[in-house]
Amino acid sequence: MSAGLRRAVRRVAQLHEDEAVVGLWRRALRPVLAWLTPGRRRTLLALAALYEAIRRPIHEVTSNPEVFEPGGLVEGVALVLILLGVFYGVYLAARNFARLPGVVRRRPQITLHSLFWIALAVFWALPPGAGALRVVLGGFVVVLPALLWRLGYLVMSGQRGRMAGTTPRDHLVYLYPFWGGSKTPYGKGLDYLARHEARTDEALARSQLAGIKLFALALVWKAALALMDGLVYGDPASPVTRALGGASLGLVRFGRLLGGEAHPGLLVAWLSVYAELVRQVLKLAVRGHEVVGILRLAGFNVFRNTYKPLLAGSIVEFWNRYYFYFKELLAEFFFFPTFVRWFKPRPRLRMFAATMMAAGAGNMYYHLLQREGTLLQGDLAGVWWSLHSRALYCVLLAAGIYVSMVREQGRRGHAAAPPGPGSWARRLLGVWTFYGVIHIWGLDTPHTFAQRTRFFLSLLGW
Amino acid sequence: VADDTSLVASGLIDSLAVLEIVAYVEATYGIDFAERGVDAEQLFTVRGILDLIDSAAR
Repeated sequence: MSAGLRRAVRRVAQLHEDEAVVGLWRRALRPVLAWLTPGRRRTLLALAALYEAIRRPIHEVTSNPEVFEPGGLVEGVALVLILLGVFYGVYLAARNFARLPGVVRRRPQITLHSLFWIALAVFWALPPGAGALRVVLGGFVVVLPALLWRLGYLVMSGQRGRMAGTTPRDHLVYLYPFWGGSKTPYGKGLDYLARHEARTDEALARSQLAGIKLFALALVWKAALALMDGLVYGDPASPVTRALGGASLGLVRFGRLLGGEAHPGLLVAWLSVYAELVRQVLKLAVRGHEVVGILRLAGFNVFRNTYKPLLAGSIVEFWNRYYFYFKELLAEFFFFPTFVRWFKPRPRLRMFAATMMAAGAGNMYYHLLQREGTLLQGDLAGVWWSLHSRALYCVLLAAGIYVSMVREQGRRGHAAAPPGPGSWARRLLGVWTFYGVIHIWGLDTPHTFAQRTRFFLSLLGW
Repeated sequence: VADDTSLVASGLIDSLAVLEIVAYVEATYGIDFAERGVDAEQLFTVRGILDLIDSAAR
C-alpha cells in the first residue's frame, strides 16, 4: 500500500480525531452540543430508561402466555412498582454499603442474586391458580435477569465507595439502557460510564463522531456478512449468490454440519469451521458496534465491544477483544472475587481457580440465567438439555485462557523480536483453530452433545 | 509517566499485570480486596494505585 493511500485510509479511520472534521461538526451543531450538558443528557437518558422501566414489565406480564397465565394492566403496574422499589432499595444499600451487615458486605453479589432464586422458588411453590400474585412473581422472574448484572454494577459502586454525589437518576440510565444490547451490560455501570463521559462540547463532538464511525463499520461488516452468505456458502436466498450465478466456495454452515445433513471432505469441513468463527465475530461486531455507537452518540465514549479479535496473537488476547463487555462482566463478578479470596499463597493455582470460576462457572451461570422462561416452568431437564454442550465449551475456554495467560506472563520481561510473518500466521492459525473448534460445543443451536462431538471427531478423520 | 497516564493504554504494562499489582498491594499494604472489590481500571494509573493505598490507610 502506498504511503499516500495509507494516510488516506488512516484519515478516514480516525475521522473522530481529525481536527477539521471535529471543527466542522462543532460548528454545524454548536447550539445542540452546548445545550446537551452532561446533566441534561443524563436526565434525557433517565427519562428514556423510565419509559422502558414501565413498558417492559407491562409487556412481559401481559404477553407471556407460554410461561404463565397472562395478567392485565393492574398486575403490570404492580410489577413496575416492585421493580422500581427493588432498584431504589439496591441504590440505598449501595449508598450505605459500609453500614450493611457483614455477611452482605462480604458477598453483596450473592445476596443480590439470591433475590432471583428466592422469587423463583416461591413461584414454583405457588399453585397455577394463585392469580395475581403468581402473575406478578412470574413477571418478576422473567424481567429480573436482565437487571441483575446492572444492579450488580450499582452494588459494586457502593462497595468501591463511589456513590457520593450520584442520584437514582444517574443509575436508572444504565438499568434500562435506551442504547439496547442484551443481558450483558454494554457500557457497564455508572463508574465506567462516568469515566468515559464527555464533559465539554468538543469531547461530545468527538464521541459522536466516534459513534458514527462505529455505525459505518457496522454497515461494512453487514455487507461482509451478506457477501459471505453468497460467496462462501452459496446461500440460495442470498442476492449475492444470484449475482454470481450460483458460484461459491461451497462451504457449509455449522447447523447443517452438526446435524449431519452435509458430509463434506476434510478440507471443506475445516474451512467451514474457520468460516463459522469469522461469521460469529462479524455478527457480534455488527451488534456491538451499533450499541456502542449509540452510547457514543449519547456522549459516553466507551470501548468497542469487539476490536479486531481475528488478528489476536493469543487465546487471551482474542478473549479480551471478542466480546469486551461480557469478558468484563465475567472478570468483575467472578474472576476478581475469586482471585482476592482463594489460594493467595499459590499464584498459579490462584489464577487457575479465578479463570475457571469466570470463563467456566460464571459463563455457565450467565447462560443459565438466560433460560428464565424454562426455569420458570420448572423444566430443569430442559435447562440442562440446552446447556450441557456449553459445559464442555466453558471448560475448554477456561483452560485455554489459563494456559495462554501463563504463557503471556512467561513472555513478559523477555525482549523478543517482533514475530515474523510465518510465526504470526502460525499464532493466528492456532487461535482461530482453538476458538473455531470450541465453538462446536458453544454455539446456541439445538444439536446434542453427541452430534457435536461426532462432528469434531470427523474433523480428525474419524 | 504522568500520574493519570493509563499504563495499559500506553503499553507499559498489559492487563494481566493488574493481577500482579493486586498481589503486590495486598502483600505490601495489607489491603483486603475481598470487601472493597477490585476496580481494575483504577489500577491502570499511578494516581489510581496511590489513591487506593491512601484510602485504605485512612
